[in-house]
Amino acid sequence: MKGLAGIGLRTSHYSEIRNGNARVDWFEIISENYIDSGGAPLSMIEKVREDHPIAMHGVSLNIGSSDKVDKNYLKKLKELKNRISPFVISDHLCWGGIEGRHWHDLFPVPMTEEAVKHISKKIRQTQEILESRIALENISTYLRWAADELSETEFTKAILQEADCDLLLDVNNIYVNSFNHDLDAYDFISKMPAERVVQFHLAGHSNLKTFLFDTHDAEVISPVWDLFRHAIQTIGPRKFLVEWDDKIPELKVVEAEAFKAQKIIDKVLIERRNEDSKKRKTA
Amino acid sequence: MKTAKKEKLHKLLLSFDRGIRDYPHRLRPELFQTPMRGDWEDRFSIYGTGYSVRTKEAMEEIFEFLSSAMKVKGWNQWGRAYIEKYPSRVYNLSKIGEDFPKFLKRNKKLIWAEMARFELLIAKSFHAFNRGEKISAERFSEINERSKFEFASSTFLFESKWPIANAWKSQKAKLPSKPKNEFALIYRKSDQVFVRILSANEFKILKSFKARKNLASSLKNLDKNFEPSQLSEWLHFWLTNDFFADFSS
Ligand SMILES: [Fe+2]
Repeated sequence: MKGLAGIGLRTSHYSEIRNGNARVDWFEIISENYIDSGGAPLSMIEKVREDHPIAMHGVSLNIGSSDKVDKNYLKKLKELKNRISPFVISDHLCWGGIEGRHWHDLFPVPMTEEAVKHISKKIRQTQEILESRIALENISTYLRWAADELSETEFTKAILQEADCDLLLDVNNIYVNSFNHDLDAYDFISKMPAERVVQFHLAGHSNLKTFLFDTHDAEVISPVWDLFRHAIQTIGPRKFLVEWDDKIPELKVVEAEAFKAQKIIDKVLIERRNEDSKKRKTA
Repeated sequence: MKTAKKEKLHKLLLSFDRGIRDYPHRLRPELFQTPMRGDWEDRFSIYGTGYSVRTKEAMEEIFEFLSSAMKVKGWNQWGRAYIEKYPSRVYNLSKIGEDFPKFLKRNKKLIWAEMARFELLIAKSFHAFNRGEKISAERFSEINERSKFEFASSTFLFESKWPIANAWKSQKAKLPSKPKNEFALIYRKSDQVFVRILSANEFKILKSFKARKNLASSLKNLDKNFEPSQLSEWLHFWLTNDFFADFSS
């Protein structure tokens, strides 16, 4: 299946991409790096989008905060959307600032009924302002709130349903959380509404022994590949992205990770086709 | 009832926020479930230390020269003090250093403040949104005494009592030790930012252009050493290096 493989657009790869050496199908940009920037960064995406679709992935939407939606931020996000026509706009199901202060981080939200209502309302407002659906990504967390009333599965599903938005399913984050909070990663994936999943993320993380730290600085580990295979089997093939944000290696190394994911998808599809034809024969 | 619940979310997030702001002094273990493995403090430290790591990286990107000229100790001390005094209120980390020159000046670090002000302009020039069209060479002949010039968003004048731009251009990570009046211009051509050291006369003309005065009045009050023949050379340089977004004829 073609057109699925994506990686993050990073400055260290600019010249290779500019020279036409990129082999992946699409690129993800971090929206905030471009909303206030009109120089080299903007020229670069304008060049990249001549040959590749672009996904806008943000980190400052702050959707889980008790603060109201930041209309100034959304205005700029919309301007960028209008300029580059991304195929998807996404951010994270988290919070990162309160009362106007920004921590530039992805913090866990207390998983309560009240948070579901509050966040869903903010998502609906966001989609209205942007005139676009958005996808939210499940994040890696290191602590759970004592105030939690819902499981992560229940919380995520409730928001998707009430806000009517899409899901960017980060398979590595599910694995990290399954270790950090003793959850069943396979069960989490099986319970996600497939029709709302628009993209997968894959990444490497660091093992700090008592917990896993989502560092995006290494290759994807084998149990995460297994989990990805399960996601393709239960949810189906979708666009996917390999995230590598720290100690970024050469373009071809990141691309090699993306091609591993592509191979898994192709294999699952072949297996499915074989099974279908077997079934038809027996019928 | 509804308000009470909403306040609960707000209060929870505020307690977390306070834990980060005063990390590691005001931690509240009762806010979190006890983790299956290890200490909750270790896990909270990921959040507690992340901010200073990220803001430091972002500041070092903007103040590349200054951060190395201040040496590790000075940079860590003053960078941290700045971040504590001015918690980020911007959604974009690249905008985090806006108040740094002001902060250094208030703390009597005058040369550092000047270099910070200069490097902030370099960053602003890099990120500025310029209009797409450039002034074509055919239009150069339209310039006359009444012409007024509009600076490109990426063009900035810089004036200092210290030779800051010269030090920056030397790339030796060494700040000037003696004061000397200096004039410079920061501009962007083909997405690359350049610095031009200006004579007092060239600076005066450009400053006057910036104030939207026309060419004729911009040539008044120049120093005696000004030679009119220099003007056409300068105009050619300014126009071919995208200093201006437009001019009126
Ligand atoms: Fe992700």
